[in-house]
Amino acid sequence: MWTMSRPKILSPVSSFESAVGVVSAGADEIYCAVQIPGAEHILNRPAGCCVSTYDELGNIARYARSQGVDTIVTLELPFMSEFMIGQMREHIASCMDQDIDGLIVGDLGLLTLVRDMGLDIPLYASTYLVALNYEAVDFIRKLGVKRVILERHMSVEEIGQVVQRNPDVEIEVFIHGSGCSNINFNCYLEGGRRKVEALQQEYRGTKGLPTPCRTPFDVYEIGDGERKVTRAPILDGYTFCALCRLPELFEAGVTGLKIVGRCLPITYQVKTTEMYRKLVDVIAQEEIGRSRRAHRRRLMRLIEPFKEEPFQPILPPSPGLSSAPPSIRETLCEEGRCYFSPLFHVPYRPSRRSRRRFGAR
Amino acid sequence: MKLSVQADHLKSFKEALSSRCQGVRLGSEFCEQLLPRPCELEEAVELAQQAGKAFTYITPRLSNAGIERLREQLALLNEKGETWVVFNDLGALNLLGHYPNLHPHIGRHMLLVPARSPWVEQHLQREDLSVRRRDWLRALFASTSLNYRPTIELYRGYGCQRVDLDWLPRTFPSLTFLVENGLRLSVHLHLVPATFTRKCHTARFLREESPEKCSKPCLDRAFLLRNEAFGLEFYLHGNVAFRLAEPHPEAVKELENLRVAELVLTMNPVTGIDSAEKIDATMSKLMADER
Repeated sequence: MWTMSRPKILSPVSSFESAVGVVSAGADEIYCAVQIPGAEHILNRPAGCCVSTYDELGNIARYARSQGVDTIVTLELPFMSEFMIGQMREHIASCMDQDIDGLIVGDLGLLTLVRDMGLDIPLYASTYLVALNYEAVDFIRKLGVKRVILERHMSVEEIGQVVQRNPDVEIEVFIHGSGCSNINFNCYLEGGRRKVEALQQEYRGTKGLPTPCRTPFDVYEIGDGERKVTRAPILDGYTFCALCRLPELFEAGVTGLKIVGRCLPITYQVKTTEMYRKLVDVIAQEEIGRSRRAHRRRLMRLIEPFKEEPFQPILPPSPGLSSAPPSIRETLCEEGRCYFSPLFHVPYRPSRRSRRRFGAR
Repeated sequence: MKLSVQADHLKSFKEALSSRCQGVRLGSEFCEQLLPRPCELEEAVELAQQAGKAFTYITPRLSNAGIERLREQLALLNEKGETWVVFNDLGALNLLGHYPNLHPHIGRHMLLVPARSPWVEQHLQREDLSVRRRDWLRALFASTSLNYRPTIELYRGYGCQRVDLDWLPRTFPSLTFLVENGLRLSVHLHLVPATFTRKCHTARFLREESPEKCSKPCLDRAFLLRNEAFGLEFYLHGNVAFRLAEPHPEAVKELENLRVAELVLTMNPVTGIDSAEKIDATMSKLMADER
């Protein structure tokens, strides 16, 4: 007989109010950060993505604990340098004073710093440590990490292999929101937030935040006079949602299902948590039969109605358009914005002319 | 300071061997589909030995399947004798510990380098910055995630003594720290990676079916990407978007004074370097004293 685990739902929190919201909505764990001055120049996280003070973090952690929910703090910087030692020691100590339950660390130097400070707290390896395979997870495990958050670009099958090969470490995966086609740690496209904000009006109607990778580029073939091929959002892979893959993630044995959205409105954080709470409970309650395939079919039928839930757009609705928020089906499914979609999935179509001239199929 | 040439396939590698360069590198920093077959790797090692050039093997970020391919290659390399292997994945570093003849060399993907961002000047030119804040930012953009002694010590604990870096003059002053802490530095000319994906942008654009069936168009095609609204310009080669940095002889001198050990010239459609003649011409242009 095959088995299924029941993973935890990890929800994003950006304030005490959002913590109350997502905990009430059914989050098993919450994660948040307190802004480090200057970090926005590396991570491009505006102030609104973070809890504003250590005191507020303390209030969040106490409230969450009273509800049986763990508070995990991301250290926010996937970077450590000598000139930051004092600042980071102070930041880590201030977070620790708030009685939190775990630290997410995205840099080997920071990991060393936390260990050197002699802190007794579970460590979570951030996606910024780029664990893409079971050997990388094993390497990170040996550094004393309790949980590894996998990089987004893995298939469910690969995730399952990682879980099997690393039984002594918890595995967490992203499932919803702000899917990024580039490897976070190796991507420097963000950081131009001010420029992005200035261009929001121009790109109104783009689904999701118009980061540079999601906007069109003029594409020229190098050599032969650098002729223009087409104009396309060529740097984005459009991944967002994992509704349909939840049954397989259960089977794979992951510990945590992470919802992205610290920078998004509280309503988004709450509604998305609610939806996944219902869905995870529905899947967990469904009796396991002898046939895995039949079980998956039953689960897929249960998942279908969830696709009609509204997908909260980040930008306000454009004037003149219907105020009814589009559903997940319309926003994500119909455009193939799916986590774990094939690696070479193409969400845009090169023009017929460019296909003919440059051999794009 | 020696100059090495990096090639991602055997044909280019053979061109590099017949140039005046002192070292040769084979492999890919970016795509596991470009890992050579074991027979190609064996041939490359033997050819480098015959030519009397130092050989380095380059490895990218890896999937589970890629890890298994690498395992086979490392066993083969280990039998051939001492070799340096550039790793760009912690999984590869984990594997390297099993092979006594193989020495880990830290790849560019392992480092976070804020100066790779195309927005550096935009940040530094902000008028609302206090003097203290501006100094902090300057320190940030001059630094790399290796500019922290415990990080270096951690890597050195795994046998790492060498590291690959970018041609980013803003970071050059911080390289002294790395040298003083026992690292031997290699600096890549021309190409600074700005973003990288496993969902290969080129393959998706050209409608390749899957990684396993990829026809590897990146071996001879690359694209220039322009976004005028953002003021961005990148060179797309396979699954990486690069910024182009033009090296010049004065900065080469500066690197020599900083005790940088190696410059790395990459053969690919973006640099346009595809022959021994072009390698020699670039060497002559950059390293006048080497003639």
